[in-house]
Amino acid sequence: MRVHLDLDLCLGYGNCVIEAPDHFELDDDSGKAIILIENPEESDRAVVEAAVRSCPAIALRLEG
Amino acid sequence: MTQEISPLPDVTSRHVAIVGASLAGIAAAEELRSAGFTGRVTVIDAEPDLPYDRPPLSKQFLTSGLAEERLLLKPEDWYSEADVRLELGERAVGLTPTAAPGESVTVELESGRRIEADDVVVATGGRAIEIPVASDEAAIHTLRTVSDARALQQALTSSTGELLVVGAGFIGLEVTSAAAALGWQVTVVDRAAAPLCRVLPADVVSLCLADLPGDRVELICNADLRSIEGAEGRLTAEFADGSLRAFDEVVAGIGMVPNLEWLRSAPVEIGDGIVCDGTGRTSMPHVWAAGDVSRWPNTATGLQIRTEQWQSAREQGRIVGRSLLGSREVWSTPPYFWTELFGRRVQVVGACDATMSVRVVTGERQRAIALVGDDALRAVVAIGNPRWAALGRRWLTEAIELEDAAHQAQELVSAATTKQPQ
Repeated sequence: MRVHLDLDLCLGYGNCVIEAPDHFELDDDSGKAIILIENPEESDRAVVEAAVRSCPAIALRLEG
Repeated sequence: MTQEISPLPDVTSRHVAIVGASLAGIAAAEELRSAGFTGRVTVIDAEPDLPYDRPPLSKQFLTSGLAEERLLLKPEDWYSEADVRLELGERAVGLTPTAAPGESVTVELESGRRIEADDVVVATGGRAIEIPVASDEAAIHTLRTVSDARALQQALTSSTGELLVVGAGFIGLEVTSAAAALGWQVTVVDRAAAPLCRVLPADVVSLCLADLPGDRVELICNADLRSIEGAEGRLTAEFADGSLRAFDEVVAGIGMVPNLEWLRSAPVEIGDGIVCDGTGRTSMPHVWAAGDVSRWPNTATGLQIRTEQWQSAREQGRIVGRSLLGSREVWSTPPYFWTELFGRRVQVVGACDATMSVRVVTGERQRAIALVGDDALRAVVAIGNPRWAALGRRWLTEAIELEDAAHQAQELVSAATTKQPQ
């Protein structure tokens, strides 16, 4: 699977970091999210899906 | 009209009606479809707007004219793609059990229409409390709906002037933050001795307000208003001490009340909100509730209260979606909310109140972690660093000792500090 982030939609809420701190980070300067693992392992699906759905700005999308 | 008698509706003809196109309501609809429900889903809402999210309404929407599409909970085409029928501009005025076989509950609409369903989810949220001492001529803003936000955004961006914010809670302070950023002189008044004092311990409040621009914002606590009059575009507030002050705009941020009136005649148990069990079931058969209108037990906090938090509403909506399909999962995640005040992002994981002890660890660039709790860690407040909020949640879930948390917090902050460029 692949994680996509729309930086235009991202408002830097940080919910993704809370749900999946190994997969997301917030950039210090822009305040927006950074994907740490673009192609997560299948075993991480649950936590990555939780992060994608936790985004109030609907900036994250999971493919595959 | 003859009724077909069938003992149990099969899945595809089962109908779930969700009253309230709110965060909780849409979360329930989405979860139903994600979990494979193939029956009918109808979402009913009194407002005409496509379902939208509230947090930006008191933040970016006020300051930077965020396009309204960015507020939508789901893109417009999601509803037809997911086969979720939207009935917008329809206000629910009653909820009754029906006798017709196969149809369990009827939602009565103000228009006279009736929508029958096998299960109904109540997610009608709440409405902003208006200032009781304001006269009819005093045009006072509240901030709950997108319609409120449009009017407030218009007022705050078309000019600058003097703003009175009544209520130093999250909404009041977020509006203050936005208005100050837009160049307004803001006076915030609250009856309590300190802002946010019922919700957060004083030391945490100080951290949140550390960057309050003192030249633009005046905070008056222990203040009561006797009246607010309006005349010729100016509003005059009379304080309890008799003093009068004039303002160009007034915003009320004094809380919300749950939208329960429409259930007055329904045989459903209501306290401060609709009483639910941990799966979202109410006392009325085939009726569920989620979000700001409901009160659920939470196994992480051991409390049963009505919360007004985004995360809770979303989680409850999702749990109801699964409960409708037979799940027995109960709400067990620690509460979480966030706010942005005067440039500081504050995240609170766990349930705290103002009486609890606080240990604060501060780092560079105005970042801090506050550990809240007396005998045990109850909440973690992270300021300026979402990663710390994530760790805070882990500490709470693992129920680590307060001392351990304090130790780890210290290490985190030191590590962040030493990473700063020379």
